[in-house]
Amino acid sequence: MTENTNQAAVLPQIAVSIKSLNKTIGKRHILHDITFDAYCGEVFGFLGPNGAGKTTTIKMIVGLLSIDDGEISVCGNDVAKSFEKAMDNVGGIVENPEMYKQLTGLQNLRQYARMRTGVTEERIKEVVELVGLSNRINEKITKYSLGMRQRLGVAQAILHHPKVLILDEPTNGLDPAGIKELRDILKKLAHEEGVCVIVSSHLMSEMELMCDRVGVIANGSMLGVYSIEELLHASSGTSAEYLLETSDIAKTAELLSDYKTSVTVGEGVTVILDNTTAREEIAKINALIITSGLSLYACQRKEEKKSLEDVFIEMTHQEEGGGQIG
Amino acid sequence: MGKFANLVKNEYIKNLKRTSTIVMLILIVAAGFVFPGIVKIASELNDTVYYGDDSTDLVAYHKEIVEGLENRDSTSGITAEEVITLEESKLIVAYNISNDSDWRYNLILENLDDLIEMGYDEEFYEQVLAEEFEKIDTNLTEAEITALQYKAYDIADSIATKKAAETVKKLPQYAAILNILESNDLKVFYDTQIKMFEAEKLLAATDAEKAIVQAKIDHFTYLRDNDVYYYGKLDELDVSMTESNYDSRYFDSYNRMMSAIAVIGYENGIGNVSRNEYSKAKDIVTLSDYMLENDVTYNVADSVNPNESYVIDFWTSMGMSTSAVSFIGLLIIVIAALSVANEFSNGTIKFLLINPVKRWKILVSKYFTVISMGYIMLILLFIVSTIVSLIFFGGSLIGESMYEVVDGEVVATFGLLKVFKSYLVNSIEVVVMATLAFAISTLMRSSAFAIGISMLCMLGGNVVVSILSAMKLDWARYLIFANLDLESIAKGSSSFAYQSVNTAIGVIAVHMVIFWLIAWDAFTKKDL
Repeated sequence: MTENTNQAAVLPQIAVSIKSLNKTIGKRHILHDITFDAYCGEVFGFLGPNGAGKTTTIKMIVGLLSIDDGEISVCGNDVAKSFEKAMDNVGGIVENPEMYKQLTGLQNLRQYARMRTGVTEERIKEVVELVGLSNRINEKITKYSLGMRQRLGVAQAILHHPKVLILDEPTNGLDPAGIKELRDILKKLAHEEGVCVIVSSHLMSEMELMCDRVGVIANGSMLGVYSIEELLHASSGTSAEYLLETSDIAKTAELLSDYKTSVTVGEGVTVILDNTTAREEIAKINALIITSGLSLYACQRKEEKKSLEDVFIEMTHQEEGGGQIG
Repeated sequence: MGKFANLVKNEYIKNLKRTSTIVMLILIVAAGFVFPGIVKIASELNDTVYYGDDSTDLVAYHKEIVEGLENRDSTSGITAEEVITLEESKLIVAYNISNDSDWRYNLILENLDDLIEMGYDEEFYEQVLAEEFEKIDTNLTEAEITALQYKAYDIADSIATKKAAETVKKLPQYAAILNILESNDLKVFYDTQIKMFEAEKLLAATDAEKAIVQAKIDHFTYLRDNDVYYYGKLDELDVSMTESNYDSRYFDSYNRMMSAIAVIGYENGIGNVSRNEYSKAKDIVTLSDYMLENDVTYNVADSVNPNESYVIDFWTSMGMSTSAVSFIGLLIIVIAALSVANEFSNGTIKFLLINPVKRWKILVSKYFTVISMGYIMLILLFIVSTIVSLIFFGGSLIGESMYEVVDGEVVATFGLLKVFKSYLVNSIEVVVMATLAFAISTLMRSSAFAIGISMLCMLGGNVVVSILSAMKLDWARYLIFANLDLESIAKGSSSFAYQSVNTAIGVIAVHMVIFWLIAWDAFTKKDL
């Protein structure tokens, strides 16, 4: 124990460390050298299309799958070597939140509480309130909707104040209000209580709102780990487009023959500028149009067409060129 | 340790909240009623058979028989059997025997027909038959002649029997019977028996033969000196007793005599006494001596085994109730199969295994729960069976003990403890089958598979073993099914000759280890 606390003192922020993880199931090589660290106090998004290896990686972190090659440690404890110590710090939902159907929500939570140390009845009550199930907690699981079971799953996962919280597609079955609530809960746990929250999803939009950093995985390989800002920057691309509405579209196009332009009849002229110098250039263009005696009705920067979703799809389809953005 | 207790508590809650488990507990209580109920019904039927004639007046009944038969025209037919009945009825009327539980009634019924048979003259019968044949008109059709011939046999038999009945009255045995009847004293009956055997002893050629007759004399001497009630055949050792006049001392003395004869026989090469029978006989002599010397009049062992019991009572009911233990086996197979397979089919296994508990601990806690539930059911069954037996048969015998010979010494065990031990011995099969179901459900992750295969093994295993044993395939003795019935093996009544309890335990242990390794490997190593 002392060794672990010492280690935690030296590297306070690393909660989950994965080093060159490989997994083969049958003849399929499912994971190739997955490596990343997740830190205390952050929401780490684990992003990838269906079948990329998200759930496989998560299952290996929580010990449901054996590790062929590589290392996983949770709060300094190797999952394969000291499973119980490692899992003391972990809470999670893997795949669907399945509960014992013959028991009530509360009885289910007590089942998990008994396998942990130091979970009191008060704590159970507190968690139930946190996930908003107080009214229905004494009902049998068979009467629960998928969303309610998902909430109970979260309650189960955070029952014992885990340092690492791993949720596999946690927004499945939740309504928009529920998703927002969950997001707030997770952010609060990470930013205020210093929990390392690892969330997997195939939805970039969800990640954008929830996560601090995102690890992107495709076909069993890690494409890279990015902060949300980096991704946003990547999505803004290398060029900027401005739509100019003037009194004479043809003449404007002629004026701007030095630039890349396109004409939209009835709307105006679209000019494409290099992103790095776009602001200076557009000021010059505006001045040029006005000094030419044309009336400039509007100069509008076009909304970014390339969304984060597009970036994600682009990234995960580049099977070999991973990690080139940002 | 606290953590393990919590795991077991979790398993108990999961099991007890399942409707099927509750239904099973109700079935166990019901099973507790079944066997004592069957024994009760059997004892009621027995009672009606034995006490059915109580109300009729025997003297009046037999007077009617005597009148009816004597008034019958002798040529129109009185059969040989009726001749004997007539003689018996005459004696019953003459000695005014009004009750069929009077030992003299049975003395007459048991002995008179044999005596008359003794006086039967075959030559006289042939002579009468020839005369009757001559009377037949040879001009009749063949069919008519055949019919008359058959009639002639009956007539000749009847006349010969009548003559035999008269001849017998001159025999000393007949006089002896009359003497006993006259005295209305069992002591006289026993004295007569003893005198007859004394005479036989004088004729005995060897010391061994003398010793055998002496054993018989000892038996009747004991009966005479201790006023033990008995009725039966003169000059013979047959038993004829009912619940109404049951006296354990008679059986102890009788068993002692028979076993002593077997022991002498084995030691002197008389008769076909096997080694096995010899050692059993020795034990019986030891036990009977103990029972007679210490005035122990009740032995639970006499009632507890339904195949051998003379009487049906509280202990018969308790003995039968051990059969319900196999029923627990069927239920525990279901619990064992569901315990693991349900976690897989419901997907809850993932939530179970991401807790800081090693997989093997979870497996052990599940196994412990299944087995301990089996034993809770066993105790429940024992309690219910005891209560139901008490209700049906009363509690007067509950404090009795079982007397057995172990290594040449008589050991007395409190009866309830003995029956419970028998429950425990039977439970070995339950544990083996539960372990099998547990292993299959862990390996296949399917409760249907586990329940199906285990039930097939439990119900069909014995059949398979009997078939293989009938086909003289000796390797079948090492099959698990051939080794589960430890009680039969200990008694030497199992399918294969010379099976030993130790080998059986060894076979069971090997199978258990295999089942466990399968479950262990499947549960702790497999990916989910």
